[in-house]
Amino acid sequence: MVLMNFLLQNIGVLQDLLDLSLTALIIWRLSRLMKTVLALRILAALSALVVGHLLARLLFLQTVRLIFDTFLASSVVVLAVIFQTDIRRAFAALIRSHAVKDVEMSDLIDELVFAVAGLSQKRIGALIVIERSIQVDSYLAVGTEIDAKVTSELISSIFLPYSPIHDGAVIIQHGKLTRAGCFLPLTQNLEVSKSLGTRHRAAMGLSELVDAVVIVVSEETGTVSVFVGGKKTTNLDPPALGKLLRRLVEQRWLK
Amino acid sequence: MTEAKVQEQVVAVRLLSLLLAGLLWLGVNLERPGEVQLQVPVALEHLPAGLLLASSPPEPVEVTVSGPRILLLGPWLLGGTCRLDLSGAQAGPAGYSALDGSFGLDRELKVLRVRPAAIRLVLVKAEPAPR
Repeated sequence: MVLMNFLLQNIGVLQDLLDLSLTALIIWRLSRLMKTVLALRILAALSALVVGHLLARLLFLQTVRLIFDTFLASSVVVLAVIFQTDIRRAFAALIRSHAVKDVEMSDLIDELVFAVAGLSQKRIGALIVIERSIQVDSYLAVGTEIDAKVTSELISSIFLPYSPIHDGAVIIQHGKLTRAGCFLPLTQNLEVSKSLGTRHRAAMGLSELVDAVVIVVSEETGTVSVFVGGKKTTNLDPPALGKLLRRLVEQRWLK
Repeated sequence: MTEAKVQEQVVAVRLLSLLLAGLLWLGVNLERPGEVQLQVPVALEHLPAGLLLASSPPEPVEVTVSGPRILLLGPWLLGGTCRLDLSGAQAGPAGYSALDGSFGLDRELKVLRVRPAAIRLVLVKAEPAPR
Protein backbone atom coordinates (compact mmCIF):
# COMPACT_ATOMS: atom_id res chain seq x y z
CA MET A 1 0.00 0.00 0.00
CA VAL A 2 2.81 2.36 0.97
CA LEU A 3 4.67 1.41 -2.18
CA MET A 4 1.54 1.98 -4.25
CA ASN A 5 1.06 5.43 -2.73
CA PHE A 6 4.70 6.25 -3.34
CA LEU A 7 4.40 5.17 -6.98
CA LEU A 8 1.23 7.18 -7.49
CA GLN A 9 2.73 10.27 -5.89
CA ASN A 10 5.89 10.06 -7.96
CA ILE A 11 4.44 8.78 -11.22
CA GLY A 12 5.71 11.82 -13.13
CA VAL A 13 9.28 11.39 -11.91
CA LEU A 14 9.17 7.67 -12.62
CA GLN A 15 7.86 8.31 -16.14
CA ASP A 16 10.67 10.80 -16.76
CA LEU A 17 13.27 8.35 -15.44
CA LEU A 18 11.87 5.57 -17.61
CA ASP A 19 11.77 7.88 -20.63
CA LEU A 20 15.38 8.97 -20.10
CA SER A 21 16.64 5.45 -19.44
CA LEU A 22 14.96 3.97 -22.51
CA THR A 23 16.25 6.78 -24.71
CA ALA A 24 19.79 6.25 -23.41
CA LEU A 25 19.44 2.50 -23.94
CA ILE A 26 18.25 2.92 -27.55
CA ILE A 27 21.09 5.34 -28.34
CA TRP A 28 23.64 3.06 -26.70
CA ARG A 29 22.37 -0.02 -28.57
CA LEU A 30 22.46 1.85 -31.88
CA SER A 31 25.97 3.14 -31.15
CA ARG A 32 27.12 -0.45 -30.50
CA LEU A 33 26.35 -1.25 -34.13
CA MET A 34 29.19 1.07 -35.15
CA LYS A 35 32.88 1.13 -34.46
CA THR A 36 33.57 2.64 -31.03
CA VAL A 37 35.63 5.56 -32.33
CA LEU A 38 33.00 6.35 -34.94
CA ALA A 39 30.19 6.12 -32.38
CA LEU A 40 32.09 8.52 -30.11
CA ARG A 41 32.38 11.09 -32.89
CA ILE A 42 28.76 10.81 -33.94
CA LEU A 43 27.45 11.01 -30.37
CA ALA A 44 29.65 14.03 -29.63
CA ALA A 45 28.54 15.79 -32.82
CA LEU A 46 24.86 15.12 -32.15
CA SER A 47 25.19 16.29 -28.54
CA ALA A 48 26.82 19.51 -29.72
CA LEU A 49 24.00 20.07 -32.23
CA VAL A 50 21.32 19.56 -29.58
CA VAL A 51 23.12 21.91 -27.15
CA GLY A 52 23.43 24.50 -29.92
CA HIS A 53 19.75 24.17 -30.75
CA LEU A 54 18.72 24.57 -27.10
CA LEU A 55 20.93 27.63 -26.57
CA ALA A 56 19.72 29.27 -29.77
CA ARG A 57 16.12 28.67 -28.77
CA LEU A 58 16.70 29.91 -25.22
CA LEU A 59 18.39 33.11 -26.39
CA PHE A 60 15.99 33.75 -29.31
CA LEU A 61 18.82 33.53 -31.85
CA GLN A 62 16.58 32.80 -34.81
CA THR A 63 19.24 32.52 -37.53
CA VAL A 64 21.54 30.35 -35.45
CA ARG A 65 18.53 28.25 -34.52
CA LEU A 66 17.66 27.85 -38.20
CA ILE A 67 21.20 26.58 -38.89
CA PHE A 68 21.16 24.11 -35.98
CA ASP A 69 17.64 22.94 -36.81
CA THR A 70 18.63 22.35 -40.42
CA PHE A 71 21.70 20.38 -39.35
CA LEU A 72 19.70 18.37 -36.83
CA ALA A 73 16.91 17.63 -39.29
CA SER A 74 19.30 16.53 -42.00
CA SER A 75 21.74 14.78 -39.67
CA VAL A 76 20.13 11.40 -40.26
CA VAL A 77 20.60 11.68 -44.03
CA VAL A 78 24.09 13.20 -43.71
CA LEU A 79 25.20 10.45 -41.31
CA ALA A 80 23.68 7.80 -43.57
CA VAL A 81 25.68 9.12 -46.54
CA ILE A 82 28.97 9.60 -44.68
CA PHE A 83 28.86 6.31 -42.79
CA GLN A 84 27.05 4.17 -45.34
CA THR A 85 29.61 1.38 -45.09
CA ASP A 86 29.30 1.15 -41.33
CA ILE A 87 25.53 1.36 -41.44
CA ARG A 88 25.38 -1.37 -44.08
CA ARG A 89 27.55 -3.47 -41.81
CA ALA A 90 25.33 -2.71 -38.84
CA PHE A 91 22.18 -3.72 -40.69
CA ALA A 92 23.85 -6.83 -41.98
CA ALA A 93 24.68 -7.71 -38.38
CA LEU A 94 20.97 -7.81 -37.62
CA ILE A 95 20.51 -10.66 -40.06
CA ARG A 96 21.35 -13.85 -38.28
CA SER A 97 21.58 -17.26 -39.76
CA HIS A 98 19.52 -20.02 -38.22
CA ALA A 99 21.18 -23.13 -39.58
CA VAL A 100 21.18 -25.90 -37.03
CA LYS A 101 24.17 -28.02 -37.87
CA ASP A 102 26.32 -28.81 -34.87
CA VAL A 103 30.02 -28.40 -35.35
CA GLU A 104 32.78 -29.07 -32.94
CA MET A 105 34.54 -25.71 -32.87
CA SER A 106 37.68 -27.16 -31.43
CA ASP A 107 37.98 -29.68 -34.27
CA LEU A 108 37.41 -27.02 -36.88
CA ILE A 109 40.08 -24.74 -35.45
CA ASP A 110 42.51 -27.61 -35.11
CA GLU A 111 41.95 -28.54 -38.77
CA LEU A 112 42.44 -24.92 -39.82
CA VAL A 113 45.60 -24.49 -37.78
CA PHE A 114 47.02 -27.75 -39.09
CA ALA A 115 46.27 -26.79 -42.70
CA VAL A 116 47.67 -23.28 -42.30
CA ALA A 117 50.81 -24.59 -40.62
CA GLY A 118 51.41 -26.99 -43.50
CA LEU A 119 50.80 -24.32 -46.13
CA SER A 120 53.05 -21.88 -44.29
CA GLN A 121 55.83 -24.43 -44.08
CA LYS A 122 55.63 -25.08 -47.82
CA ARG A 123 55.21 -21.35 -48.58
CA ILE A 124 51.96 -21.86 -50.37
CA GLY A 125 49.78 -18.76 -50.37
CA ALA A 126 46.32 -19.11 -48.80
CA LEU A 127 43.34 -16.97 -47.98
CA ILE A 128 40.69 -18.33 -45.59
CA VAL A 129 37.57 -16.45 -44.52
CA ILE A 130 35.62 -17.47 -41.42
CA GLU A 131 32.22 -15.84 -41.43
CA ARG A 132 30.98 -14.59 -38.07
CA SER A 133 27.75 -12.65 -37.45
CA ILE A 134 27.71 -10.70 -40.73
CA GLN A 135 27.08 -12.61 -43.94
CA VAL A 136 29.86 -12.28 -46.48
CA ASP A 137 27.99 -13.55 -49.56
CA SER A 138 27.26 -10.14 -51.03
CA TYR A 139 30.97 -9.22 -50.99
CA LEU A 140 32.22 -12.29 -52.82
CA ALA A 141 32.88 -12.53 -56.53
CA VAL A 142 33.25 -15.64 -58.69
CA GLY A 143 33.95 -18.72 -56.54
CA THR A 144 33.00 -22.36 -56.68
CA GLU A 145 30.41 -23.79 -54.34
CA ILE A 146 31.70 -26.71 -52.30
CA ASP A 147 29.70 -27.39 -49.14
CA ALA A 148 32.11 -29.74 -47.39
CA LYS A 149 33.37 -30.45 -43.91
CA VAL A 150 36.43 -28.42 -42.99
CA THR A 151 39.48 -30.66 -43.07
CA SER A 152 43.14 -29.77 -43.29
CA GLU A 153 43.56 -32.05 -46.32
CA LEU A 154 40.78 -30.32 -48.25
CA ILE A 155 42.10 -26.83 -47.47
CA SER A 156 45.66 -27.82 -48.35
CA SER A 157 44.60 -29.37 -51.63
CA ILE A 158 42.56 -26.32 -52.63
CA PHE A 159 45.58 -24.04 -52.27
CA LEU A 160 48.07 -26.28 -54.06
CA PRO A 161 49.43 -24.31 -57.02
CA TYR A 162 48.06 -26.71 -59.65
CA SER A 163 44.55 -26.56 -58.22
CA PRO A 164 42.17 -24.61 -60.52
CA ILE A 165 40.67 -22.79 -57.54
CA HIS A 166 43.87 -22.06 -55.62
CA ASP A 167 43.91 -18.38 -56.61
CA GLY A 168 41.18 -17.03 -54.34
CA ALA A 169 39.69 -17.36 -50.91
CA VAL A 170 37.94 -20.27 -49.27
CA ILE A 171 34.88 -19.37 -47.26
CA ILE A 172 33.83 -21.08 -44.05
CA GLN A 173 30.21 -20.45 -43.11
CA HIS A 174 28.39 -22.08 -40.21
CA GLY A 175 31.28 -24.43 -39.66
CA LYS A 176 31.36 -25.74 -43.24
CA LEU A 177 33.60 -24.97 -46.18
CA THR A 178 31.04 -23.52 -48.57
CA ARG A 179 33.02 -21.87 -51.36
CA ALA A 180 36.51 -21.67 -52.82
CA GLY A 181 38.30 -19.54 -55.41
CA CYS A 182 36.38 -16.43 -54.33
CA PHE A 183 37.66 -12.94 -55.09
CA LEU A 184 37.34 -10.48 -52.22
CA PRO A 185 37.03 -6.69 -52.32
CA LEU A 186 40.44 -5.02 -51.98
CA THR A 187 41.02 -2.46 -49.26
CA GLN A 188 40.54 1.18 -50.24
CA ASN A 189 42.74 2.34 -47.39
CA LEU A 190 45.39 4.64 -48.89
CA GLU A 191 47.59 4.38 -45.81
CA VAL A 192 48.32 0.72 -46.42
CA SER A 193 51.94 -0.05 -47.28
CA LYS A 194 52.59 -0.50 -50.99
CA SER A 195 54.53 -3.63 -50.21
CA LEU A 196 51.32 -5.36 -49.08
CA GLY A 197 50.34 -7.99 -51.65
CA THR A 198 46.96 -8.50 -53.29
CA ARG A 199 46.08 -11.43 -51.00
CA HIS A 200 46.66 -9.28 -47.90
CA ARG A 201 44.82 -6.33 -49.46
CA ALA A 202 41.85 -8.58 -50.15
CA ALA A 203 41.90 -9.89 -46.58
CA MET A 204 42.01 -6.37 -45.21
CA GLY A 205 39.31 -5.17 -47.62
CA LEU A 206 36.79 -7.83 -46.60
CA SER A 207 37.55 -7.47 -42.89
CA GLU A 208 36.85 -3.73 -43.18
CA LEU A 209 33.38 -4.44 -44.54
CA VAL A 210 32.27 -7.35 -42.39
CA ASP A 211 33.26 -8.86 -39.05
CA ALA A 212 34.73 -12.00 -40.62
CA VAL A 213 38.07 -13.41 -39.50
CA VAL A 214 40.41 -13.68 -42.47
CA ILE A 215 43.56 -15.84 -42.35
CA VAL A 216 46.33 -15.17 -44.85
CA VAL A 217 49.42 -17.26 -45.57
CA SER A 218 52.06 -15.28 -47.43
CA GLU A 219 53.39 -16.99 -50.54
CA GLU A 220 56.71 -15.10 -50.29
CA THR A 221 57.54 -15.55 -46.63
CA GLY A 222 55.15 -18.19 -45.34
CA THR A 223 54.06 -15.72 -42.63
CA VAL A 224 50.60 -16.28 -41.18
CA SER A 225 48.44 -13.21 -40.54
CA VAL A 226 44.89 -12.74 -39.30
CA PHE A 227 42.74 -9.74 -40.27
CA VAL A 228 39.77 -8.61 -38.20
CA GLY A 229 38.03 -5.24 -38.57
CA GLY A 230 40.74 -4.06 -40.97
CA LYS A 231 43.47 -4.73 -38.39
CA LYS A 232 46.27 -7.21 -38.95
CA THR A 233 47.87 -9.58 -36.46
CA THR A 234 50.92 -11.12 -38.06
CA ASN A 235 53.78 -13.59 -37.51
CA LEU A 236 51.51 -16.13 -35.88
CA ASP A 237 52.89 -19.56 -35.13
CA PRO A 238 50.40 -22.48 -34.96
CA PRO A 239 49.75 -22.26 -31.18
CA ALA A 240 49.26 -18.49 -31.37
CA LEU A 241 46.95 -18.89 -34.36
CA GLY A 242 44.89 -21.49 -32.54
CA LYS A 243 44.66 -19.32 -29.43
CA LEU A 244 43.65 -16.28 -31.47
CA LEU A 245 41.01 -18.20 -33.43
CA ARG A 246 39.51 -19.64 -30.25
CA ARG A 247 39.22 -16.09 -28.93
CA LEU A 248 37.72 -14.67 -32.14
CA VAL A 249 35.40 -17.45 -33.29
CA GLU A 250 32.47 -18.38 -31.11
CA GLN A 251 30.45 -21.58 -31.27
CA ARG A 252 27.26 -19.74 -32.28
CA TRP A 253 28.81 -18.64 -35.58
CA LEU A 254 29.56 -22.20 -36.52
CA LYS A 255 26.00 -23.48 -36.20
CA MET B 1 45.05 -0.24 -29.49
CA THR B 2 45.43 -1.44 -25.91
CA GLU B 3 42.65 -3.17 -24.00
CA ALA B 4 42.55 -0.29 -21.49
CA LYS B 5 42.09 2.24 -24.28
CA VAL B 6 39.24 0.21 -25.75
CA GLN B 7 37.57 0.02 -22.33
CA GLU B 8 37.93 3.79 -21.95
CA GLN B 9 36.23 4.32 -25.29
CA VAL B 10 33.40 1.94 -24.41
CA VAL B 11 32.79 3.86 -21.18
CA ALA B 12 32.93 7.14 -23.10
CA VAL B 13 30.30 5.85 -25.55
CA ARG B 14 28.03 4.92 -22.63
CA LEU B 15 28.46 8.33 -21.04
CA LEU B 16 27.88 10.14 -24.32
CA SER B 17 24.78 8.02 -24.97
CA LEU B 18 23.46 9.08 -21.58
CA LEU B 19 24.39 12.70 -22.24
CA LEU B 20 22.69 12.73 -25.64
CA ALA B 21 19.62 11.02 -24.16
CA GLY B 22 19.56 13.65 -21.40
CA LEU B 23 19.85 16.48 -23.89
CA LEU B 24 17.10 15.04 -26.09
CA TRP B 25 14.89 14.51 -23.07
CA LEU B 26 15.60 18.07 -21.94
CA GLY B 27 14.86 19.41 -25.43
CA VAL B 28 11.54 17.56 -25.60
CA ASN B 29 10.48 18.54 -22.09
CA LEU B 30 11.43 22.18 -22.53
CA GLU B 31 9.11 22.31 -25.55
CA ARG B 32 6.15 21.27 -23.39
CA PRO B 33 3.77 24.14 -22.57
CA GLY B 34 4.19 25.93 -19.28
CA GLU B 35 3.06 29.09 -17.52
CA VAL B 36 4.90 31.86 -15.74
CA GLN B 37 3.71 34.88 -13.74
CA LEU B 38 5.58 38.15 -13.98
CA GLN B 39 5.42 41.64 -12.58
CA VAL B 40 5.84 43.91 -15.58
CA PRO B 41 6.32 47.71 -15.39
CA VAL B 42 4.06 49.91 -17.51
CA ALA B 43 5.67 52.37 -19.91
CA LEU B 44 3.61 55.21 -21.40
CA GLU B 45 4.56 56.01 -24.97
CA HIS B 46 3.63 58.67 -27.52
CA LEU B 47 1.93 60.98 -25.05
CA PRO B 48 0.50 63.76 -27.24
CA ALA B 49 2.12 67.15 -26.87
CA GLY B 50 0.21 69.42 -24.52
CA LEU B 51 -1.08 66.60 -22.31
CA LEU B 52 0.20 65.62 -18.90
CA LEU B 53 -0.45 62.63 -16.67
CA ALA B 54 -2.50 63.87 -13.74
CA SER B 55 -3.02 60.52 -12.01
CA SER B 56 -0.27 58.58 -10.28
CA PRO B 57 1.96 56.52 -12.61
CA PRO B 58 0.46 53.09 -13.25
CA GLU B 59 1.57 50.26 -10.99
CA PRO B 60 3.32 47.23 -12.55
CA VAL B 61 0.85 44.73 -13.93
CA GLU B 62 0.85 41.01 -13.16
CA VAL B 63 0.99 39.01 -16.37
CA THR B 64 0.52 35.27 -16.82
CA VAL B 65 2.30 34.04 -19.94
CA SER B 66 2.04 30.55 -21.45
CA GLY B 67 4.14 28.85 -24.11
CA PRO B 68 7.05 26.44 -24.54
CA ARG B 69 9.00 26.25 -21.28
CA ILE B 70 12.30 27.00 -22.97
CA LEU B 71 10.98 30.38 -24.09
CA LEU B 72 9.66 31.09 -20.60
CA LEU B 73 13.24 30.70 -19.30
CA GLY B 74 14.50 33.28 -21.77
CA PRO B 75 16.22 36.41 -20.50
CA TRP B 76 13.66 38.65 -22.23
CA LEU B 77 11.38 38.07 -19.26
CA LEU B 78 13.69 40.08 -17.01
CA GLY B 79 13.33 43.17 -19.18
CA GLY B 80 9.68 42.79 -20.18
CA THR B 81 7.58 45.94 -20.31
CA CYS B 82 3.91 46.71 -20.91
CA ARG B 83 3.97 49.53 -23.46
CA LEU B 84 0.86 51.72 -23.60
CA ASP B 85 0.42 53.72 -26.78
CA LEU B 86 -1.17 57.04 -25.87
CA SER B 87 -0.93 58.62 -29.33
CA GLY B 88 -4.72 59.01 -29.67
CA ALA B 89 -5.31 60.09 -26.07
CA GLN B 90 -7.31 63.16 -25.10
CA ALA B 91 -7.57 65.13 -21.90
CA GLY B 92 -9.70 63.49 -19.20
CA PRO B 93 -9.95 60.04 -17.61
CA ALA B 94 -9.14 57.10 -19.91
CA GLY B 95 -9.15 53.32 -19.47
CA TYR B 96 -6.85 50.99 -21.37
CA SER B 97 -7.85 47.33 -21.55
CA ALA B 98 -7.03 44.40 -23.87
CA LEU B 99 -3.38 44.76 -22.97
CA ASP B 100 -2.39 41.38 -24.44
CA GLY B 101 -0.60 42.92 -27.40
CA SER B 102 1.31 45.47 -25.31
CA PHE B 103 4.08 43.15 -24.18
CA GLY B 104 5.93 42.56 -27.47
CA LEU B 105 6.08 38.80 -26.94
CA ASP B 106 7.36 36.16 -29.32
CA ARG B 107 4.50 34.74 -31.38
CA GLU B 108 4.89 31.35 -29.65
CA LEU B 109 4.07 32.97 -26.29
CA LYS B 110 0.56 33.85 -25.26
CA VAL B 111 -0.70 36.21 -22.56
CA LEU B 112 -3.28 34.33 -20.49
CA ARG B 113 -4.15 36.93 -17.85
CA VAL B 114 -3.29 40.52 -16.99
CA ARG B 115 -4.05 41.95 -13.56
CA PRO B 116 -5.41 44.53 -13.39
CA ALA B 117 -7.25 43.91 -16.65
CA ALA B 118 -7.41 47.64 -17.38
CA ILE B 119 -5.20 50.61 -16.60
CA ARG B 120 -6.86 53.87 -15.73
CA LEU B 121 -5.14 57.17 -16.39
CA VAL B 122 -6.14 60.78 -16.08
CA LEU B 123 -4.64 63.14 -18.60
CA VAL B 124 -4.88 66.92 -18.40
CA LYS B 125 -3.94 69.70 -20.72
CA ALA B 126 -0.69 71.25 -19.78
CA GLU B 127 -1.05 74.88 -18.55
CA PRO B 128 0.94 77.27 -20.69
CA ALA B 129 3.82 78.64 -18.74
CA PRO B 130 3.02 82.13 -17.25
CA ARG B 131 4.81 85.00 -18.98
